[in-house]
Amino acid sequence: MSDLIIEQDVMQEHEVRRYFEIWRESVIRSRHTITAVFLKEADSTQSKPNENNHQITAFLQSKIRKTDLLFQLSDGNHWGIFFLQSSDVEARAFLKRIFAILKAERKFQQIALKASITEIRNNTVTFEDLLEKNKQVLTENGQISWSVVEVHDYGVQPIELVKVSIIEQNAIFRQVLESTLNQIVIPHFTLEVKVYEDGYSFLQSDGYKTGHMHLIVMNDILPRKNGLEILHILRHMPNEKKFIIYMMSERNSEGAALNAYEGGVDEYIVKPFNLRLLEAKIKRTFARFWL
Amino acid sequence: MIKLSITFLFTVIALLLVVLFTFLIYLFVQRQRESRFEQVRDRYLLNYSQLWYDYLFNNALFSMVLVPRGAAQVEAIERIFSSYLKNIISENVEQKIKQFANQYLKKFYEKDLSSRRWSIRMNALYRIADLQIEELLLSCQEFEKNKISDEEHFQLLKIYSLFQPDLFMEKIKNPNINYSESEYRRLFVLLEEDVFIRFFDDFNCWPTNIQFAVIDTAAVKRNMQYLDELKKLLSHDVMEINIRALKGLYEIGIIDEIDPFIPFVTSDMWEARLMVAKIFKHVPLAYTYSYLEQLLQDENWWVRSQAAKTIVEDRHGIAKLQQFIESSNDPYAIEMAQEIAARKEGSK
Amino acid sequence: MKIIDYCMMFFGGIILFYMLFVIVSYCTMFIIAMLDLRKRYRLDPSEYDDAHIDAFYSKPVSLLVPAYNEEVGVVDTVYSLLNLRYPQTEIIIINDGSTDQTLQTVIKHFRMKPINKIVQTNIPTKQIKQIYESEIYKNCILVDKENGGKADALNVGINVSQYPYFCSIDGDSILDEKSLLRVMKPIILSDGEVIAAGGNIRIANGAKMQFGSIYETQLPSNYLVIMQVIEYLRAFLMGRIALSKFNLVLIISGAFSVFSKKWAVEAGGYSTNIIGEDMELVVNIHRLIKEKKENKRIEFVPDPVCWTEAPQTLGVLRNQRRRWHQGLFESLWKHKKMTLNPRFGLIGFISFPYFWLVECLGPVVELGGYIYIVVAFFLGKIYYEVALILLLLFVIYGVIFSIAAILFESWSMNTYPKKREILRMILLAFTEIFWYRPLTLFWRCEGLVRFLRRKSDWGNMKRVGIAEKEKNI
Repeated sequence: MSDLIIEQDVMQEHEVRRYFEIWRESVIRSRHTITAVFLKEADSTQSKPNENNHQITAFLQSKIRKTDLLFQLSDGNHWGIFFLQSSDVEARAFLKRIFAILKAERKFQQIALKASITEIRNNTVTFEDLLEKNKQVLTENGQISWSVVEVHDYGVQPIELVKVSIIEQNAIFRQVLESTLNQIVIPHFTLEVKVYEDGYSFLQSDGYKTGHMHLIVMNDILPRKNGLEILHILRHMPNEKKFIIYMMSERNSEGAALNAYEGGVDEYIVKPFNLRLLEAKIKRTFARFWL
Repeated sequence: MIKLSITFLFTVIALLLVVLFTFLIYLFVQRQRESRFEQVRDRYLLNYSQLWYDYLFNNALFSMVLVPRGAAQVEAIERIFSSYLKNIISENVEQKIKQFANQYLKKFYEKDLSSRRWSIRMNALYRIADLQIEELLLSCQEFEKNKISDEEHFQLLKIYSLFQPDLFMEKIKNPNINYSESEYRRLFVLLEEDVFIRFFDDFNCWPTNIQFAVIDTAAVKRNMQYLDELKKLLSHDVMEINIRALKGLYEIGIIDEIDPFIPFVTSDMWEARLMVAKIFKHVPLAYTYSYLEQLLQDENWWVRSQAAKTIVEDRHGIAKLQQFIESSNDPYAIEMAQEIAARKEGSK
Repeated sequence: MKIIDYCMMFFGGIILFYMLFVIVSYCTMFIIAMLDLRKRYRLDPSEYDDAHIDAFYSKPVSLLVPAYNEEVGVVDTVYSLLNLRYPQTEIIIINDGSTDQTLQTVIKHFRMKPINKIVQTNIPTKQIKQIYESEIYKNCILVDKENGGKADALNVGINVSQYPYFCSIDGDSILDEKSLLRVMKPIILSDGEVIAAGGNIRIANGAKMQFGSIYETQLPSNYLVIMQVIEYLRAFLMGRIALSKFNLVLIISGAFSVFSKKWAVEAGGYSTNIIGEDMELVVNIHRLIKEKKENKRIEFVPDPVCWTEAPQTLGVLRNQRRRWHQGLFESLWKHKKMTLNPRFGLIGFISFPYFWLVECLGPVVELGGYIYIVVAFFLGKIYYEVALILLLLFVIYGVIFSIAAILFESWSMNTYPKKREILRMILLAFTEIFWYRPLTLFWRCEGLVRFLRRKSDWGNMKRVGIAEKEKNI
């Protein structure tokens, strides 16, 4: 009986497991949220499971995007979909869309599904746990058709340490920047702020060589190795993507700003500037990292 | 010959040495005083910088310990304020600084204004403008009645322009004092739009330095209102003013019609032709090519060079240049076209 | 014996008279300088600096760095230029066919890449081999050319430059971050009436610095260098400031000076066939001003600071002084017709005579004075009195003026803040007349002799590099 249920053109549970493990790690490394959706027939006592299964598989296959992955669980009556680089918002939208189609079209009238959504934002979950948890949820949920439950067990984002280096010559303003950046609260990130008065002492500190994400707020003109040179050094490091570089400048000329952007700064801020705006920019920069 | 006796020389030397020695002692005492001054200043900075930050930014309550006692602490506060004003824009902070300065620093600067030292008076005038100590406006007007230097007068003008534009407009008409263009620009750039626009009303009455400064300031202010004023100046009788206006229009970079510029393609002044070649950067090549081709064959190196640069900036520019190279028989123009085209290709 | 007596009387008279003349003129200049600096005492300069950092107020400047075998110093110089507080500059390093690693060092350090650039030939020069542009700093370019001397290198720099003003900086000097802003101040404030300006030169030996920034000034320990520090202070207080006040400056140091390109080009740029090319250009510009009857000025600005390395050994110092004096003589000789020429106004009536008498012939007379004292000592009693008077005048001229300069500088600028350092300088000033003064006088006379024999030789300075040896990151 079970042999009949297994589909040839859809991936199976045991095949997907290895992929999942890689994606799960990239959740942390590349901050790519993945969302898993599990589907099950609401009324599993139905007479013709085999036929329905075919239809459901084919239907789902036709509705997913190329970056989504559909697979069938080994028990034969669950489907899973991994949405890469997507949050539960997209998964909900997806379910809403396919449920609407299923309900509307005549040829699907014997099908009734229910689903669960699991957003994954950390790497603590194992494949088995994920499946087990969702199966359990879908079972507990009873026989209500078209219901969607959400599993929040794995959605907690880890708190990431971000190094912040302020390189500014004026001692008073340096302190102002330090206080301001220390006060910024960004969800899921903690900032570790260090200050330097010139380029050389920053480069000597070695703090920039670790793998952490690193926000640098510096002046373009600095004694002993100026900002542009630091920019050049950092942007030519192998893992330069981890640096978010904000350059402050007194020079209000288009040429200077252009040079800085071409050299790889993320923001060029002309002094005097609005501190609140700087805060907002930094917050926005970090908000972009997670979906 | 002058009679020089040995004893006389000895006395002179001894006397001079004594004078120098006294000066040395004075210098050392002065040093001592300075270092005490610096200590007080630095201690204030160390102790209260954070408090100032909290007060100015985090809306913490004002604490009376921040009120300066003595010149050293005033200097510390000046440093804090200038660091803030130079680096940060915030209405709230500016307001608080202004309020504090008017309340607690006023008396220090008022005293400095009556100092016998020119440099101390100058410093006071600087601060009055920077920290917006409006309450000293009357003292400043009183101060103006003394015999003051041109630099002090300039500073006063700046102060008036900040606190009382009408008074400023009146004072600047004074024909006895003439400043350089760059100084006028320093004044004008701070003016409110409605005050500044008044300079265009009777443009011809102003001395040339002011006229030039007005044109240049209008260019950096980038206001549509000034665009029309600058265009009007293109028909001014003085060539230098035409050129400046062209330059200003180029810098604003908004060119909505090319007709006013066409007469300058055949101008006698190469600077005017150069500016036209530059201005055409802001206009699609289709409208300007025939003029640029003319400028490409100009007798002046700069004009030729700019015309070629303007042409290649367009998407179809290189093709146009190539076409020109094939059809032209002006060797200088061809050489320039080739060089610019080669450089453009090279930088791709 | 009679002849000797007459000779001694005659020379004694001349020397005494000369010394008095020099002392009086120095005193005058010192007083003028004092009044000028006193006015500015404690004026807050940052006000002007801040106002002018915006490109709108200031004029763009091309910085020219001629480098011939400067592999040790040039990188630091360029770093100091990169750190200048000035809105718009371009840095042009001109490698004058160096035989050492100058070219490679600069290419490596600033990631220079070859580029095509059209160069307008305003002044004819030797061939340019290749022009490079830095990948890091877009406004920094390197010109590699065939060897042609410093003047030729600067002319190439002028041709390559794109801005209306250029500033020449020696390949072994360090500029203070605000110096360019301040040296440009008279030019900007006068709307171009000032067409050239020179800055104050200080001696960098002993200062602690790294990557082109000085972070601690300290009096050097070498006596020879301290003597030069004092000498620079004196030259600055008793000469430059006063002359500048009346537009009489004939020398603005080539180590740090700004010129209007238009005027420099019209004056023919730097002359390649003369030793003192910096003085030559200034004199040529003065000449041009008078010929065109324009109201233009050349100024010396007391406070912008350029740090340069001074010779540390007698041999090198000797070469330098010989060359300077030879150059001075050559320039004066070339323009001798300007002397006392009413067409050139005060330049002809004050500057030229002053330079001829005090700067040029001074060493001869003074050295004569030293010889006189020695001879008088051997000839016996009757000359003792004159000799002693002369000696005392030397004391005033050497010791007193030096001490006054040290103290006054310390009061107004405070470069060396430690009390011990000031005392050390003062003590050393007392010894000046016994060794340093006669030595330099002798060398300058040598320069004169070499000029007369038309011998030219490019004394090259042996450099140790001013920066602390630093690890490369």
